[in-house]
Amino acid sequence: MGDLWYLALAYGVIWVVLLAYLYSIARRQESLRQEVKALEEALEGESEAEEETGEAEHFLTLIQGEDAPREGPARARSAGRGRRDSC
Amino acid sequence: MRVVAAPSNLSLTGAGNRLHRALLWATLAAGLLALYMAFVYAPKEATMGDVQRIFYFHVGAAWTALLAFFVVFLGGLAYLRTRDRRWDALALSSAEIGVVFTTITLATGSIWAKPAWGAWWTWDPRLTTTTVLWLIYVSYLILRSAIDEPERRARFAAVVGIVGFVDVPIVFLSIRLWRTIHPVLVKSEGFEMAPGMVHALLVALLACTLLYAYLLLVRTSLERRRLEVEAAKRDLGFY
Repeated sequence: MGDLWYLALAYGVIWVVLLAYLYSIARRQESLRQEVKALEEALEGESEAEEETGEAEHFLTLIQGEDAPREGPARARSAGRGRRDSC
Repeated sequence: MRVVAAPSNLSLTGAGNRLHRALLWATLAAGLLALYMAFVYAPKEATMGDVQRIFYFHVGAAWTALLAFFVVFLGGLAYLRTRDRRWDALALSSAEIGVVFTTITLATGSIWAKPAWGAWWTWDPRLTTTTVLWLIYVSYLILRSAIDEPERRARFAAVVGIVGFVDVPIVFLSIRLWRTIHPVLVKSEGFEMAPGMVHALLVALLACTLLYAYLLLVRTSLERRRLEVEAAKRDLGFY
C-alpha cells in the first residue's frame, strides 16, 4: 500500500469520526425537540380541560348559586394527570 | 394556565445565534485553510513522504483532546465548589468531545505508525498513556450513564474528571520521561521542522481549537436545554 493510501485512510477516519459525532448530537437534539413537543401538547390538553371545567363551574354557579358542588377542577386535574402519565 | 419555558434553540447550527454562526464560519474557514496548508503549502517530508501530512491533524486532535480534558477538570472543580449543574453540563460536553478527539488521535497515529514504524501499534509510552487517557474518559461517560440520581451523578463525575486529569501531564511528558520512538517536536530550541511545516501545524491547531469551541457551544447548549426540560417536567409533576 502506498503513502497516499494511508493518508486517505487517516483523513477518512477523521471525517467519519467527526460526522458520526455530529450525527449523534443531531439525533439527541431531535429527541429533545420531540420531548418538548410532547410536553407542550400535554400542557395544552390540561389547560383546555381546565377551561372547559371553568365554564361548567360558571354555569353551575349561575343556575344553583354559590353553594353548587365543585367537582370540575378535581376531575380536570385527574384528566391532566392521565395525559402526563401517558407522556 | 401553566407556562413552561420551552427550549427555544434546538437547531444544530443554532440559527439566530450570532456566536454559533460566527464560530461555525470561523471553524469552516480555518478548517479549509488548514487542509490547504497541510496538503499544498507544507513541503513534502524527505524520508516519510506524503504520509507525514497526517501529522498536522494528528497533533491538532491531540492538542484539542488535552484542552478538552482540562476543561473537564475545571468544570468538575467549579461544580464541586458551586453545585451549579451548568458546570457539570460543561464538563460532560467537554469530556465527550475530548473522547472524540482522542479517538481521532489514536486512529490517525496508528495509521501513521504502519508506514513509519512498520506496525499498526506498539506499546510505546506515549501511545500507552494516551490509550489510558481515552479509557479514563470513556469510563467517565459510562459512569455517568450508570447513575440515575442527578446530584450524585454530577458529584461522582466531577471527582473522576478531576482525578482523571492527572494522566494529561503524564501523556505530555511521556516522550521526555521515558525512552520512546514517538517523535519529539518541540525542544528547548523550538520546533524541529521546516518553517512551512510549522505554519501548517499552527493553522491546524487553530482549526482544531475552533472546532472544539464550536462543538462545545453546541453540545453545552443541548445539555443545558435538556436540564431545563428535566426541571420543567419535575415542576409539573411528570416524575
